[in-house]
Amino acid sequence: MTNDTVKKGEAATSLRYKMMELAASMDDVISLGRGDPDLDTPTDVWQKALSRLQSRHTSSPVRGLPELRESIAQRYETEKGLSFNPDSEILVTNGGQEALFLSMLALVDPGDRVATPDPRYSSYDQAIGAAGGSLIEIPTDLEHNFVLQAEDVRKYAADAKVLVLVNPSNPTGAVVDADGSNALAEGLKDSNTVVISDEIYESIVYDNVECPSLAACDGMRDRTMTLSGFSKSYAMTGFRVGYLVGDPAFIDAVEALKASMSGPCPLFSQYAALSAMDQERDSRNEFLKIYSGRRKVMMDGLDSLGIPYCHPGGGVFMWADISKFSSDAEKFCYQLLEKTGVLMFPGNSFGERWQSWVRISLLAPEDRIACAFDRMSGAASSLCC
Amino acid sequence: MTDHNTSFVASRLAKRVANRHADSTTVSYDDIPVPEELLDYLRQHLGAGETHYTARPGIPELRAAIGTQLGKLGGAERDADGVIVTHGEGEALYVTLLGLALSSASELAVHGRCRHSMLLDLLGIATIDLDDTDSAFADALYREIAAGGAVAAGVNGSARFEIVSLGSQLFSAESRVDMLQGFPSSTILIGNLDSIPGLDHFRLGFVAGPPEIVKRIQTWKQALSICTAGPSQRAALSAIEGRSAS
Repeated sequence: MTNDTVKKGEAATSLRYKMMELAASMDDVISLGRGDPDLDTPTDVWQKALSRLQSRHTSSPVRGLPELRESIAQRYETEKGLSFNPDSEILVTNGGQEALFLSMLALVDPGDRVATPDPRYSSYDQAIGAAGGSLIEIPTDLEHNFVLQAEDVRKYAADAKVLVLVNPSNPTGAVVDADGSNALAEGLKDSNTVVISDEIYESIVYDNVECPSLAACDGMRDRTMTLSGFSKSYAMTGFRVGYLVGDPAFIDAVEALKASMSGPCPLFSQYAALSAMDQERDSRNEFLKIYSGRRKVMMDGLDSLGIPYCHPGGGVFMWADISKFSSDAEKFCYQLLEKTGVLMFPGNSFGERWQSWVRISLLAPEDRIACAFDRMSGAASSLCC
Repeated sequence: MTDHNTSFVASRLAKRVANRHADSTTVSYDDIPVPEELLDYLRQHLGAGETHYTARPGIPELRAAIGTQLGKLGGAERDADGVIVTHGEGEALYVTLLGLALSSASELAVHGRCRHSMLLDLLGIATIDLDDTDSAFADALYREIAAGGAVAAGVNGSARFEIVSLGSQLFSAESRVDMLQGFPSSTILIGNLDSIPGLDHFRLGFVAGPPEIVKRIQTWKQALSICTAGPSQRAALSAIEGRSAS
């Protein structure tokens, strides 16, 4: 276990939960904090899952029901042009978080270097630390709209055993597009680095930008372990269904770990995932439209306050520079919550150097987002700290 | 492990597991039909929008119900703050070991029948068979908690922890009402809810113990899977409430 990495991850997560607890004790809070979609799971998804439960299976492979893995494989074929064997290259997990945790245990030995773009989704730190990995941060910046640059991967992480890439990004909303992915692939070709490509926000990409699976790039199929799931695409966080797609040896290793630790994903949750994939009307398109509208309102709000931000190419977060108010994001977020009832997360909970940045989620209706910026505007002078 | 042209190099841990991993790739469940009341209950809660993350340690009513049941079996009764709901008993043990910082540098005294010996082994935690010890705790361990029950005591530095696995005994109709009597209140109890008919495929487990320790364990539950599937937790609550009513 790498204690320093674990402690940093615990502290960052704990800061966010402390803020959520405070927000929960207040009235009329506009929550732009956590990544839990405010939209409910489509009714047809859980209704069909209930029907399936009536004639349920009497066993489940640890790696997930064959029909669910088959559906996932079909989707990769039709939507990404990637062919995966559902028997040997796909494994269903208890959400994306477990997928990442097990991946770290399967790949990382004590002392191995694990690279992530900075800022990063710090909830993964404990998994990296539990495996004994040593965290390397690869800088990203506003100049490049927080898109990970291939030359920086070479410069900072050439000897990394694993690169964890969340695309579209949490927390910045940056998207590595097709050209960027190809550049990353080219940059990685002479290294031994394996990529965990977290594509949990893959269905939420704006402006028709092409955002392929990294595994589709030249030379990347065998060295990319793709992580995704149903929580964000179908607003199914409560069902806890994620999956891993990758090399058979990797899937075998993760399966063995999962068999010892948690066994198969609950049947009902797997049925819900299966039902999401055979919806008559795919709700992912509808959700994308909703998030797209919210993104516009949020960008307008930030523009009106003169707050610079990363132009969000995808996902459900925006990453904004609040240095005109404060160089202490934590203090700013507490003040913002106490004075205006608006919850945002401080940037330093996604990497230590982000003291004047905040993560803002799109997970509230447009009128509430607009209201949040009205409140901020009204209290702007008192938010400086 | 599969012979394949690959960039994947398994960690030492994964290799150890692969060597031990044999026939546990499929889990069987009972074939009891899901009762109509349970389906209605789930329909009601899902329809009310309970499709989101639950509280990280689990739905408070379910945690409280588990805590109350521990008291009914003669153990220290816990309120919701002393209980975490997990994805099965294996996850319960794993997050407990992480929360107590028990690792390859630690030693665990383990009852010979411990069902989790493989998990401990793959984590590299040294085990001592309790048959070789004569501590007071060992006497308690030998109480007849349940057929198949598993027990372990861990030491991390100067701190000593006692972890008792109840298996599926917490809600078993055959469990003795005094089966937890005599265990120190600091004991950490883990187990599953599989003995409730028709519930095994919802994959539920739990950790219960002193709240200050449970809080530490909770940070690892969050790191591993955020929270346990909400519908599974609701199903358990429905079943437990149904039992109480009958």
